[in-house]
Amino acid sequence: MEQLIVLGQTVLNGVLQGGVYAAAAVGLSLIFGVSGILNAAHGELVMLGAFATYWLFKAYHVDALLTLPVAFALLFLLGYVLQHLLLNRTLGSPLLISLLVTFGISLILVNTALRLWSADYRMMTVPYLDRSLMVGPFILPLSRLAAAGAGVGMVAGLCWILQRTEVGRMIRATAQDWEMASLMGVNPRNIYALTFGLGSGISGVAGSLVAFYAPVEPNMGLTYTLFAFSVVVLGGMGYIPGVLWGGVALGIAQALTETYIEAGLSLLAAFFLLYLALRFMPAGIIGRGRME
Amino acid sequence: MTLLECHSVTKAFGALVALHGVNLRLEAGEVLGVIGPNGAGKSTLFNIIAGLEAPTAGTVHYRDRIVSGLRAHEVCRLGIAKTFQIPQLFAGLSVLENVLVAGLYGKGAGLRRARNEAEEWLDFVGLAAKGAVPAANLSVSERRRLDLARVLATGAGAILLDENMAGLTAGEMEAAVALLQAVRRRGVSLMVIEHIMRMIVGVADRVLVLNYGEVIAEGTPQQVMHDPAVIKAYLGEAYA
Amino acid sequence: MAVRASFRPFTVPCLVAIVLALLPAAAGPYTLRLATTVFMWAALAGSWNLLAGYAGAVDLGPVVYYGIGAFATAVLMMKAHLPFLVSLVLAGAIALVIAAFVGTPTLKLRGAYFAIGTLALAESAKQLGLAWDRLTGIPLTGGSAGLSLPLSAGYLLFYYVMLAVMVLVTGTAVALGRSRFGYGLRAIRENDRLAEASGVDLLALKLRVYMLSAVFIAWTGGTAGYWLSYINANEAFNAAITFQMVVMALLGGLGTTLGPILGAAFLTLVSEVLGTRFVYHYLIAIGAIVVGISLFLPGGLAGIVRQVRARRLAAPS
Repeated sequence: MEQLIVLGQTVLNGVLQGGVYAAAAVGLSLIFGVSGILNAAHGELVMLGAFATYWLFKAYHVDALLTLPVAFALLFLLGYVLQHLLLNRTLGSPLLISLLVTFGISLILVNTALRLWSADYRMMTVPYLDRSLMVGPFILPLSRLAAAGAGVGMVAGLCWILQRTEVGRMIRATAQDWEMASLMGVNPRNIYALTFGLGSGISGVAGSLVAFYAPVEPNMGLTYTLFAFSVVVLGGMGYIPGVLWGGVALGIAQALTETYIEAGLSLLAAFFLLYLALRFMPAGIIGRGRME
Repeated sequence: MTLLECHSVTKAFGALVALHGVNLRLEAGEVLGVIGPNGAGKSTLFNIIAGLEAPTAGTVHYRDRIVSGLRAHEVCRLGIAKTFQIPQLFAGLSVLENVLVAGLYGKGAGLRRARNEAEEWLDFVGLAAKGAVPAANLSVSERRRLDLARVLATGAGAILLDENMAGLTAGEMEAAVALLQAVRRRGVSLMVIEHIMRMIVGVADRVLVLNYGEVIAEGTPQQVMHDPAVIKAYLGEAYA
Repeated sequence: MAVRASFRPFTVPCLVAIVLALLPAAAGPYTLRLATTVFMWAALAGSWNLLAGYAGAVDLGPVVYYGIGAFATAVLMMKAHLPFLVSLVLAGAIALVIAAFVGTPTLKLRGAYFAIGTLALAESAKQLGLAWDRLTGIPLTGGSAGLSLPLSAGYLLFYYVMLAVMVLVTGTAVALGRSRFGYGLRAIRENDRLAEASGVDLLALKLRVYMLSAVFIAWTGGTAGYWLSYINANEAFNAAITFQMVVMALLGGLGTTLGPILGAAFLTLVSEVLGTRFVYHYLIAIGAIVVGISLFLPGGLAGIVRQVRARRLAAPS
């Protein structure tokens, strides 16, 4: 019985983490699905969102939850500008070019962050989230629950935007056939900028959610880029709802590793899972992903 | 002697069956035309024969040896090579180098011999003057001829031409037919997908007709053109 | 006549190599140390360039072999008490075997998946390196504390070893230029499906280059570890090393022989000038360079050299 509770708690931890991973990954999938750009700077967007929330909370005493829309706005703006000024020039070029350009951007972002804030780890605690719910024998830290809820909420919100709004329709049309879409009055370049902004904004807020319960530091980007790739490959590249089970799969894999093997190996588990997924399940767990 | 055979080749993409139990044979030295309405599965068949795709069921034999299931480069080295419906090339290499690669790896020749042969093949297809030009600069019809030179350079005994002669003017078509006859005289066996009847009649010894992934007729060009099943497939019931 | 023609591309590089071999007679320790650093990065960037520039496969995990080379060399020297050069050669052999095992499944991945997969492997290796001693009980990597190596005699040894590796890497690139193998690689880079349909065994050719690069990179890592007298898993398997290699190869010109050397020399000098005070500025500048080169100057520095040379040839005499 004791063992079952431990297992249950582990799985629960994994699911909660998965909710955040889903939000942290969906931007990558969206951007790739619409404009074919593989954003190597993805993790840095998460990192910047985390810092935005941290500084707003710590230095300007903004309520933690209120920092979320601010982080979204800031990162949306950054993403929109990046696509508009730089990445729109890579359209039509091979994948490597956009990978390299976003890689250059990631270097700039990481080192600007290091220059401004140093490599120190910083941690914030949200007072009203600083306790745990007890559901039966299971412990649910409120900060993690809120983060997971908000994360899943964002993914759902994105799906709603894509399916039910005018803008969402334009995005989907451009993703399927940009020439056709442009013949119907859609400006692909604006859509790509909008999409990159949207993806960046969501990634930023995901970072904000991470800041609720984990330390933040400028070098965390690479890890989150790899996490995002894991989630997206498992869920299916370009298939938005897939990030939900991709995220949960990654979260549970890590949680199991931490509980049953060793805490320090959770990263190893994640990265190796990514490798295995690429090798044996490149189209995702249910095969809805596409890469070319 | 039978050079190439397909036994019950079937290809399914999930619920969609592209090819269903296709049997065919290619005799050494003959030209086999493959015709059929769009979507009949002709290109898929060629991809399977050339090893670019694996059949869901059935086998492909070349010189009495099973080649289905082998990787594409192995099939090429054994002697089957295919042109592409939308011509493919090595854009960053010169025209000569495009053919050179095929000779080096498809045929397995040494550098000097492959280079000499590449020049010969370019001359054969009429691209000798463009040897040093970057392949990306070629026009569509020149790309098709480059594709032909490439497959010839692999030293293949069976060459599959996938609409290699599409989009030509009447005059160009005469030259193309002559080119195919010249290829044939060199002892290469051909399977040719074409939509242009004049090409088929001018070049093919036998014709295979595919529709919805199945062989619906087989025979000389004349026999096939008068076969009611074929007429129905192309023009509909009213004309049968 | 035929023999001379096949040696011609080697004459200039040979002359340069001879000059560099004689340099220590004329230059002081600071210059030589700087040169050694340039040689090291030129060897690393050049090795990466073999797979990425010639075969078109973007590997984001080459640092794995740097780390393997560093640790294998260190362990062989300290546990097996083998002399440095012997350890280094053996470390190369170990890297070769590991590359064969890792490369065979990994090279089946194409395009971006290969890039991400190799990155994932490299980060896994780093984590494994950090956790190894704790996990297996076999003291090999020293965890996050790392390993200290015996202090070395002087800098000349490292100068010559790094020079030798750089010469080997460059020589390989030159040999690829007009060889049968080189054409196969370039065909893979240009259009790998067409290459396969034309008889090129993608996996076999890519694996050969991958394994060769692994050995060169391992030799560089092994030498660097001994040079610094200290290695740890965090630094020896750090993605930053991969990124430096990539940037230098790009800046210099992907797929060219001269490119990696130009890129390595340029960036080493820039970072030297900026010193330790401006590390972040240096890296920000690198990021900007990568963006700039990728968008506006894909041929890199070597591309500029080629354009200048072409213009000079075309100009009326």
